[in-house]
Amino acid sequence: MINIQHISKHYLVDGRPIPAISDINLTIEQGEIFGIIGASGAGKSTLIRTLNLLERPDSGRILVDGSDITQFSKEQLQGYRRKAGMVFQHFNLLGAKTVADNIRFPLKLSGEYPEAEMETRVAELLELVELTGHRDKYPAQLSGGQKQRVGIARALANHPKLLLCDEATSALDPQTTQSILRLLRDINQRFGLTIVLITHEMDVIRAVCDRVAVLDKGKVAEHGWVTDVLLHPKHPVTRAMVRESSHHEESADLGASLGLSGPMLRLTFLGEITYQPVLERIATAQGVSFNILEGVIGRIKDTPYGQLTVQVIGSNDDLARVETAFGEQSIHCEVLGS
Amino acid sequence: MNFINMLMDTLLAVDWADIGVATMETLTMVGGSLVFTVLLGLPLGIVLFLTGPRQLLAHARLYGFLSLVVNLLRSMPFVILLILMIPVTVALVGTSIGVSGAIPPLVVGATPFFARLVENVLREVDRGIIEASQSMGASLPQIIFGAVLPEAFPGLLAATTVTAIALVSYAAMSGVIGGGGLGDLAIRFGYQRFQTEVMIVTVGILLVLVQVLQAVGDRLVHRYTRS
Repeated sequence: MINIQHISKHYLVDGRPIPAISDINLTIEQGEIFGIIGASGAGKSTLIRTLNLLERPDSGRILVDGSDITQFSKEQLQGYRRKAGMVFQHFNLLGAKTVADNIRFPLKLSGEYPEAEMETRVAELLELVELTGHRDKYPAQLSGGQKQRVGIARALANHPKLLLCDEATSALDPQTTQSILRLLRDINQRFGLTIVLITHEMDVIRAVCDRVAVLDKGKVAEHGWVTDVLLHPKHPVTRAMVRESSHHEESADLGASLGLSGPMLRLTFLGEITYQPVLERIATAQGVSFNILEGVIGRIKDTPYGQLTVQVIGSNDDLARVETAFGEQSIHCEVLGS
Repeated sequence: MNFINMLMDTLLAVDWADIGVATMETLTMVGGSLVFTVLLGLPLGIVLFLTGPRQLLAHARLYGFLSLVVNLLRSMPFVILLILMIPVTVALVGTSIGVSGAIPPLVVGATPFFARLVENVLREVDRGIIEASQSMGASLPQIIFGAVLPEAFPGLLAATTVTAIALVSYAAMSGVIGGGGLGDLAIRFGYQRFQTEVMIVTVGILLVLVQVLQAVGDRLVHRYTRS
């Protein structure tokens, strides 16, 4: 749906050009939730803002459904933006307008809705974001989560194909973040809406995204399915972020810090196999025992996964057979520190 | 007792019919010039805002030029402006004295002041609101009239109040060139004929007028502030 080709953008700081993003290439598919993660200053905000040209890239093309939006005329761009909603970290609601009028605003801008239809649509959206009882309040009277719900309703008003979320949950507490993320997943599934979101929190990526791009110093460090990137991070920056979010030590150091010797494995389970007693079965079949040192079992979006660091108590021959056995069960098995 | 008697004597000595006429004239001058000041100053302020640095229509040369004109008019003492404006005023309204002769210089004196206030008020509008409007596909007029001006409305009311009060004192000053109103009365009777009581009453009425304007302005600002 979106094809980002070689886009770069720099800012002038004290008269000197500082690159914000350089030579970004990404493809975002119809109907997916695509996450862009990076530390502050990595260029993620600049990147998402090029997708509706709030920032105009210095070079490169952005193809949306085949047309290059950087070549759009003013009118074409306005039309495109009406079909690409944006949600902001600080909500950016109109403080002088009520909740209902804030949601009505984009409908009025489009000029396509007769008054009665506008009312129906506003009521629909209020119900979608569960704010029906707050329609005549002003933003100052709402909580952060409620403000963001207004922001989302407003962004969805004109039936967009694309929703851009610029740190939509970063100003919210963890509980409210969860409810906003649930709402985003819900609208993604119900309307098949493509969502691009940027965040600095791995938990947000884990909870809602299908694919992710990791941004570092204005470049894409790595990208791919969230399950791949989170479970098998390749780039040092990604590793650091994953480790931080899972509160794990680097597994290679684990054996040494525990004073253990002997072969250690990192096992990665993905899918239904996560909930089966695989360790027990292989231990029995191969005549070894496993000492579980560290691990996590959870879900990435809807996919169950587990990642365990285990010490294998047995001979070297046992280790080879154990590896094969895991392989047969499609369990990713990596020998650590050998 | 002596003081109250003196005060009563003073008040009785004043020609209240004259005072009434002069007050009405002052109100007409302030009201009339305020209308034109807002009509001219609001668009000028919007243009100053839009063409300012890093704004939607950033245009260094136009902004620099308008800014210079505004500063020039604002730095000119109003008494001087009154005199310089005489030929223009005559051309515009046919006379340079009386209520109608006072309005053009009042408007020219207050418009740059008001425009600058408008520019500052609009700059205070959260930039995020402009971006959000852009992201919804709003055109420039839609951003200004649909988002920026409504958001800035309380600030604009406050700016109008300040301007109205400045106009009260300008209007009084226009008495120097025979502009009519309370200032005229104060100069002709209070100053030139040594009728101190006229001076006192005039100042008292101006004080009340300013107080009322400020109170009304504050109430309106409060009424339209949503936080």
